[in-house]
This record gives sequence, C-alpha cells and structure tokens, in this order.
Amino acid sequence: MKRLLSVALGVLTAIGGFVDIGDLVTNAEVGSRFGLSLAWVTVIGVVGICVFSEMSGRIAAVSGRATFDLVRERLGPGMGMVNLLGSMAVTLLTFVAEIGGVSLAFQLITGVDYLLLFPVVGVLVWVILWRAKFSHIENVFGMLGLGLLVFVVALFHLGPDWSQLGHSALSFHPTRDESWATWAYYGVALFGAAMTPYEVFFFSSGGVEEKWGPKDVSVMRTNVFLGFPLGGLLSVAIAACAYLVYYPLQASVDTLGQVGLPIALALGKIGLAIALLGFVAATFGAACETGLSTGYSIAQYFGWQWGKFVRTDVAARFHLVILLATVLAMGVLATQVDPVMVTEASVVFSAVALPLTYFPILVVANDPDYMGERVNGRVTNALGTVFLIVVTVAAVAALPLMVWTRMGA
Amino acid sequence: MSLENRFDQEYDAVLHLLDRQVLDKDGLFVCKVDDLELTETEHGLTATALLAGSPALLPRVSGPAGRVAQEFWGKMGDEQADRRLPYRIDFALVEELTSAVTLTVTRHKVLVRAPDPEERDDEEPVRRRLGTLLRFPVLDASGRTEGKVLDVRLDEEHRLTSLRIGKGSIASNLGYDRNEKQGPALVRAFVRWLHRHQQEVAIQDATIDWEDRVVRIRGDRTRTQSTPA
Amino acid sequence: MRGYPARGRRTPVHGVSCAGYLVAMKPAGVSIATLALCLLASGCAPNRPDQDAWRALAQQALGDASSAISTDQVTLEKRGKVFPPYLKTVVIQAEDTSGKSAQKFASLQPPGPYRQRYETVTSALDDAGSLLSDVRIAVVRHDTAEYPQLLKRLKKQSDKLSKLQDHIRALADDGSKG
Repeated sequence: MKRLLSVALGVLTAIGGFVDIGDLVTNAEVGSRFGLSLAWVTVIGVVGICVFSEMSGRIAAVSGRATFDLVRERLGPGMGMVNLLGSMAVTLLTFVAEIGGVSLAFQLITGVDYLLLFPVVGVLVWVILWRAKFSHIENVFGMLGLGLLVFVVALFHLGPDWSQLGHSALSFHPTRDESWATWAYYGVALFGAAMTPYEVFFFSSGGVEEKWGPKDVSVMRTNVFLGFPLGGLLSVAIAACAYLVYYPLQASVDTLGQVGLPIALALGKIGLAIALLGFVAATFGAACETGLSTGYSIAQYFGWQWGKFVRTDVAARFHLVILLATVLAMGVLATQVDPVMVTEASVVFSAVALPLTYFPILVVANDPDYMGERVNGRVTNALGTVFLIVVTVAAVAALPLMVWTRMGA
Repeated sequence: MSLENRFDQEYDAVLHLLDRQVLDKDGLFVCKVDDLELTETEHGLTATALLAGSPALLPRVSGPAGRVAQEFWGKMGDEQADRRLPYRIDFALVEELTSAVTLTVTRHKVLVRAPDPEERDDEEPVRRRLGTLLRFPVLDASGRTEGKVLDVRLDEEHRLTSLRIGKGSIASNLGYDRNEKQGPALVRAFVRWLHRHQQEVAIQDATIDWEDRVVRIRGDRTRTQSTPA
Repeated sequence: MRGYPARGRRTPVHGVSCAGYLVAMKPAGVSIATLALCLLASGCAPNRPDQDAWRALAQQALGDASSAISTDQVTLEKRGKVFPPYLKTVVIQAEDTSGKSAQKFASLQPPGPYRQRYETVTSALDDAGSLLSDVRIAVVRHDTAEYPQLLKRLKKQSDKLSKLQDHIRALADDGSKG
C-alpha cells in the first residue's frame, strides 16, 4: 500500500510538474492562432522527453551520477565547456521567464503590478532553494500544479464540437492567413517548450538528490511514462481551450491573463481560483528547478560538491551560484522586459540547445562503464537516434525561422 | 551494482581516469581529475598524482579559447606565486577507481599545491603532465605524421605501457572504439569512421621528446590495432 | 533582435536591400565599410519598410489592437466570472500591449503611395488605444455604470478594425493601385 502511494505521488508530481510558463504561454498562443494543427508536435515532444528522461533517470539510478556530471567525462573539457555555456545560457533565460511568470500569476491574483512583485518572488525562490528539503519542493509544487487539470475540465465545459477539434488536430497545415514559415516557427517553439533541456539534467540530478538506486528504476519509469504524457495532455488542453475562445474572435494570446480566461468562462470563479493556484505552483516549481539546474550544471562541470542532500555549508559554492543566478535573473527583470516575451525567446533557444543536451545522454546511457548491464536496449537506441536527428533539425531551423518570421509575428 | 576497481588491471588514462569525479572517503565531492602528473622514474614514465584546479584544466582546453582563458587566469592573480600551479593529490591517497575516484582520506585540506617546477633540485625527478603529452604530434621514422597522442595505457603500478595514436580529436573520449557492441549503431559507426586510423604503440617503441614537443616512433615496430582495455 | 517590448519585431528589409546593392557593385573592403555605414544609417533613421512589409506590419498592429479589444470585450461581458484583480490586470495588460505595438507601428516610415493609408491606420489605432484606456480607467475605478456603454463602443471598434484589416489585406491583390 505504501508503495502504491509513493508511485501515485510520483506520477502526480510528474503531471503537475510538467507544465511551466513556456508551456502555458506557447500552447495558448498556438491554440489561439493555429488551433490544434500543431498538436502533433506536442505529442512528438512528449515521446521525446519520455525517452530521454527515462535514460537520464536510469543513469542516475544505476551509476549514482548525474548526467551533466558525466558530460565532461565523455566529451572532454572543451566540448563539456561548450555544453556548459550553452545549457547555462538557456537555463538562465528560462529562470528569468519563470520568476517573471510567478510574478505575473501573482499580479493576476492580487492586482499588484508584477514589477513590484518580482523582487519578493526572487527572494522567496532563493530562500526556498536554500532552506527547504528537495523532496518537499518537488512534492508540494508538483501536487499543487495538478490544479492545471482544470483546463481539461474546462475544455469539456466549453462544450466543443469534438469533430471540429479532431479535424483541427489532423490538419497538418497553417490556419487562415498564416504562412508556413510562421507555422513551422511555432512548431519549433512548441517542441522547445515540450522538451525543455534543463528538465532532463534536472531529472537525473534530482534522482541523485533522492538517492535512487537500481531498484528505483521501475518506479521512475512509471512516473515518466504515466506522468509526462498526462502532462502533455494538459498542454494540448491549454491549446484547445485557447482555440475555442480566441480563434473565433481572431484574437491572439499575448498575456498570462488571456491564458486563464477560458477557465473563467467555462467554470467561473472557482475554476479560475484553481487555475491561478496551478499557475503559481507550476511557475514557482519550475523556477526552483531552473534555479537548482544552474547550480547543478556549474558544480557538476567543475567537480564541486552540489545538492541539497548535504548541509548547505558543505555545498557552499553550489548555493552561492544559485544566489548569483537569482540576483542576475532579478536584474534582467528589473529592465522591465516583458516576461512573456522572455518566455517566447526561452522556448526557441531551448530548441537550439536540444542537441547539446540529448547527444551526451544518449552516449552515456549506452556506456557499460556507468550502466553495467542496464545499457540501452535496441528499441531505446532506435528511438534515441531518431530523436537525435529530429532535435538537430529543429535546432538548425530555429534561429533562421525566428529571424525570418520576426519571432512569429 | 558494484563496479570493480580499475586500478587492479590495466587502464586507459584519458578514457577511465581523466575528468572523473574525485570523492573523499565519506563520499563527499572533492574535485575532478583535471590532469595527471607523470614522473620519470627508473621504471619509465609513471603516473604519480592527480592534478586539479584551473591551472590544470585550462591548458587542456584546446584552441584559442583555451589560450585566452589561461592568460586571463594568469593575469587575474599575477601577484600570487602559486597562481599557475595546480593542486595535487598523490596516488598514495587514492583508494580505488570505479565510476569515480575515491580517496582514503576526508576532503578537509586535501588539495595542496604542486611544487613549483622552477624550484626543483637537480636530484628530483622531472614532473610532467599528461595533458601536455596528449597534444604531441607523432612522427614515424621518416618524419611523417601518424597523428597525435590520444590516450595512454597504464598498468596496475601506474606505469605507462603504451600510447594510442590517431588522427582527429573530437569524440576521442566517447569510448565507442573500445566496445564492440556499444550502441546506438549510427553513432558507433560515425565514431568508428572518425577513428579508423587508430593504433597502439608500445612505450619501448616510442621516444617522447618533451623539448621539441613531439613523439617519435621506431620504424621497425610491429603495428597493433587498438584493443579494449 | 530585441529593442521593443511586447513583441520586439524589427524589419531588417531596408538595411538588407541597401547593403545588397552595394556589395554587388564594389570590391570587398569598400563594400564592407559601406555596409557598416548603411546599417548604422538605417539604425538611426526611421525604419522604411517597403510596401509588402508595411502591409504585413499594419496587419500585425491592427491584429494586436483587435485582440486587445476582443479580450476586453469578453472579459468585461463576463466580469461576473473573474475576480476584480484579474479583470484589472487583463485590461491593463491589453492596453499596454496594444499601445506599445501601435506606437512601434506609428514610428515606421510609410512607403510613398501609402501615406494616406498610414493616416487611416494610425488614427484607427489611436481610437482603439483611447478606448482601451477608457476601459482601464473605468475598471480600476470600479465604475460599473460605464460598462454597458463601453461594451457597445468595444463592439463597434472591433467591427471597424476588422473592416480595416480586410481592406489592407485586399491591397495586396491590387498591387498596382498602391
């Protein structure tokens, strides 16, 4: 019974933790402009992140080492440094977006301008990362993030024409007036939002934090293969709700407030309250994860002690990096840059950084030196290779598309 | 799953030791193996210590980025006498090598600066770094390049037994060439193609010229293809 | 790439065509210097999009204004279903986003034949902007008596913007009339 409860907890945490500000904003934007014609990208993205999270988690459970730790060993210090710089840049950008996202969510709840709130949020994130236990952070935000399931409920309440939704999902082309280039650009953005690079590194570091062993592999797999697809379902529901409300108005989604409106229309204040709680939990959880990831990446490259599984003073440099990253993120937000725009940029740059992230994981997961007998099977390798090609294509296409479509205008 | 101690058998320095995490006896993280100290003893070149810190790591980053980083590092602390000296962990303090290197002591004050080579007495053996050796081009008897030193094999006593030579530098740590069946197939095929000219040269057949920064191999040796350690 | 909030789009069109001409006509060193000068100049002077680009930008700005108007309309109509801070945030952000987009568009230099259309579009954007401000003022002051009137105005403005968008789109087909 206890085991069943812990598995359930893991799955629920995975669902709740799947969506972050990038998913919220990108899915709603795509839904409002393209309907469900890009839903297939989310599906592919979910499969991809399942495959690589499983590999990443297995690496942590079997070898006791986090994935980024092993990147420098396998690729050498030069390539490892390139990887570090690339990952750090994207993770920091995402960190800024998440803190901004929490502030925007709080603005929707309190009415206070987000520019007054983000310093509070930043300090709160840092204090929690400094003080709170790792498992508490993961479980609390994961469970509260389940509030976003209200999008699925709202979808039913909006009384959609299911055949119309199905038709949109199976139409693999842009909608009225939108060009193929813009459609492709948003496809890449959606892909970057679904397969966030920091997520796989974080997943394996988290596994080491929680001291997984080889016996935990099957539980980890349940969490990934049940939790992430259900989280992906949430993403599609967000897009569908936006489609039903905004597409007929020919309006596009630009703000977090617009993302939540369909919930209010379908379910009223109660639904909206749950959704707002979900927004805060999802973005706050993701802010914690990206903050920790900045510390993990640097510490794992240089060999410093990292993690919340040791006393704070034992991992002093790790916590210092997180502090500096938080200060830097707050500095960026202080320039009054629009957090939604930072989010849009972060998902596209995430797509660019994907091959850097996934290639080392694929290599390490095949290495018997770390994995013993639990190296990748043929199916996993086949999927892994296919996805490596897909992420490389997306990465190469991302920046040109961004310039050509002027960031999806 | 318990991994065997690699130090009980022959091992490849770059593949198995370099860039590994170093743990103390309580499992706390100490540093990474940024480089390896090689000393010329009566048994030949022997690995005697692990080296760590930016002075050890930065010279291993190749290309202009590495050079700029090294200069920057030096200038940031020009007043410090030991600025360019790496930290040193003697092999006497090393317990075993599994997926990480474990020490016999706790990490408290374990990293000590290596001695300054400019203050060496003439009786003391010369200390070299593996990272320097790894960039040396390899010339055969007639002076043609056979490639660069990619890896070195050490025995249980940490003595150098052979060099691994080949062309190309990227992906040399991926380890695909060591294992027949390591997947995925596409990556393995690509890496194999990149390293199709690799060969192993016994240390007796090679002369390392540290001043000219080159390795010369004898013309009459038997060629051996590289095999897994 | 960045430089403007809200959407941050920038048309590289003019800089590229100017540079392209010079690079084709002159030898390497000189053309690089001229390219640099050109880009600098195009950075200082107002952006001069050509006709196609201008139409696309006009559509965008009108689209942003229209989105904001529709969002305000829906939220105001269904205000019973949202919390007051939520309503307030939505209308403030709608005014903000649309305002920045309109301002950015107004700073563009219209191509010759489009001077008249530039006036029409900017005045429509101004009307939309002031309506959005009125909505925001009323909401922040909880002036519920104003809401029915505002909703009527929002509907009208929405229709107006729609028509203007269709008109601009139709221009694409009558390229010759300019």
